[in-house]
Amino acid sequence: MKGDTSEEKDLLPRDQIFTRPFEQRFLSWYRRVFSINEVEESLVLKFFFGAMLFVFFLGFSSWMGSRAITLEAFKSGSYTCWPYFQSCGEWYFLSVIPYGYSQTILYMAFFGAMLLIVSLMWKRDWVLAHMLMMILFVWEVLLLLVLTGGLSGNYDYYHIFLTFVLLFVPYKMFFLKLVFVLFYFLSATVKIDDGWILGSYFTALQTGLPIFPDSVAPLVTNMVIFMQVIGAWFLMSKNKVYQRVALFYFIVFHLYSGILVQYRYPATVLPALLILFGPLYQYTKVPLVKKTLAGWLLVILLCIFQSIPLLISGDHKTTLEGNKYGFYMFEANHQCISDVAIYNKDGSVATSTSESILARNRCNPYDRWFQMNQLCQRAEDVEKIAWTFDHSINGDPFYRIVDEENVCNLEYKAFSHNEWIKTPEEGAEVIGYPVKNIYR
Amino acid sequence: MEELEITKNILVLSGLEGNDEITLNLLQAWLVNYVDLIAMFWWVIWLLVVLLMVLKHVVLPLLRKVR
Repeated sequence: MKGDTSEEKDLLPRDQIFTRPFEQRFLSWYRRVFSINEVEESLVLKFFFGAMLFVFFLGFSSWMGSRAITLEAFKSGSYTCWPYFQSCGEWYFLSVIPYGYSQTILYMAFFGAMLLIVSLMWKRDWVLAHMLMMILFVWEVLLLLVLTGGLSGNYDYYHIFLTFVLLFVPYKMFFLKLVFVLFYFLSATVKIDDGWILGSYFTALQTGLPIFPDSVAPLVTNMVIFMQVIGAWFLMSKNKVYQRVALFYFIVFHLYSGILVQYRYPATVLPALLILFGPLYQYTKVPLVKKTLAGWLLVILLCIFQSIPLLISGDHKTTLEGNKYGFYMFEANHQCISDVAIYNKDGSVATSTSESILARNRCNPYDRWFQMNQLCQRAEDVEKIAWTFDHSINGDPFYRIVDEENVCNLEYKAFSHNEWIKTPEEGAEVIGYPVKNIYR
Repeated sequence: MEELEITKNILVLSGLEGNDEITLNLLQAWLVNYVDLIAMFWWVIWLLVVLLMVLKHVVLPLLRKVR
């Protein structure tokens, strides 16, 4: 038996490639620091590793052709930074087809890394697989949380935090389960308002709530709040019946919500849900030892991120301030109208109106401001830009939340309320009422 | 009815022509009076769950360990 183990160890690719003593010492240090033995010993974590790799593939395949972080986007001013890093465009260095090949070269290198990870998983070399996945992870974080504010979806947060736990946190099994349940629990905080208590998010859609009649919308939406606040915790239960009922509910919930959000969200969440809480589920005791500090810190950080929009004064569903710092899925059904008048130094005026009718399009004043601010900084012939922005959520009236003479004088604060964005409580005027809109 | 249409400025954005006006259904019309109360109820439950989880699974086991 002992002979078998050492033979198997000899076959590991890392032992064949890295033969020098200091390389071996580094590999064993790396394996210990990132608790990779936990993955080696657990079928659930091995499956989970594969599921996270699959989500990398999904994400990277959609970002590969995106212009979001390209030099072309920077030159044309058609990019969006996070409010906390508004100079992100200065760091862009990639070009995408038809302007260049660098971005697709990079992503094909990532594709090669993904293939290699599959091969390493097959050969049970979880250390090298971990190292390569870390490269994918660093790029994902850099791309979605640093270089652009325009690409990330809520499902990417799931992937980023779950992969973080899988790669870096000891007691991986417990913290994967806890963080997953916490996602539901924290997501409930954006649902505790009119849109979900009355179900008006869905009844303000022309097509209404999928499958169920609009007359029972509040029952369905409050059931979701109940399950996210209370039911989700039973996923981690010792009691098999409660655990299975909770699992069944959330499987159905994701299949149902997929009717609206389509494949990407359920493809990210359902494999993780099934692997952690499905047939292989075993109750995991809460670990309270020093080694769990990183995991508990992550839990606290997640709670802090989620509280940011709640701590910024004003209704963040109207102002969208801090909205994306935490989970924000289905926070409100949006419609908006943006009227812009660009006054040039030669006395000419160019006006434009843009409207958004899509419930899921966030109508974030920051995004519009960011685009216009680019124009203020770059176009020498622009004297000033006047702007009004009317926003309706969940079928409520359109409020004029921005009415500014000159956008070029405005700044956007990332972590506090911007006085130039008015809430109804701050006197934003009602300018009209919406009709039912559409989801896309 | 005519007067209501004059005072209520309906803004139909392009692409939404012909869509219905937004009205509350019976259940919503009843619930709308209690939205703040229900929101407070959910927040209280949310906080109670936090307290319960932290106490039951973290604080008490740690206290037991210290003893």
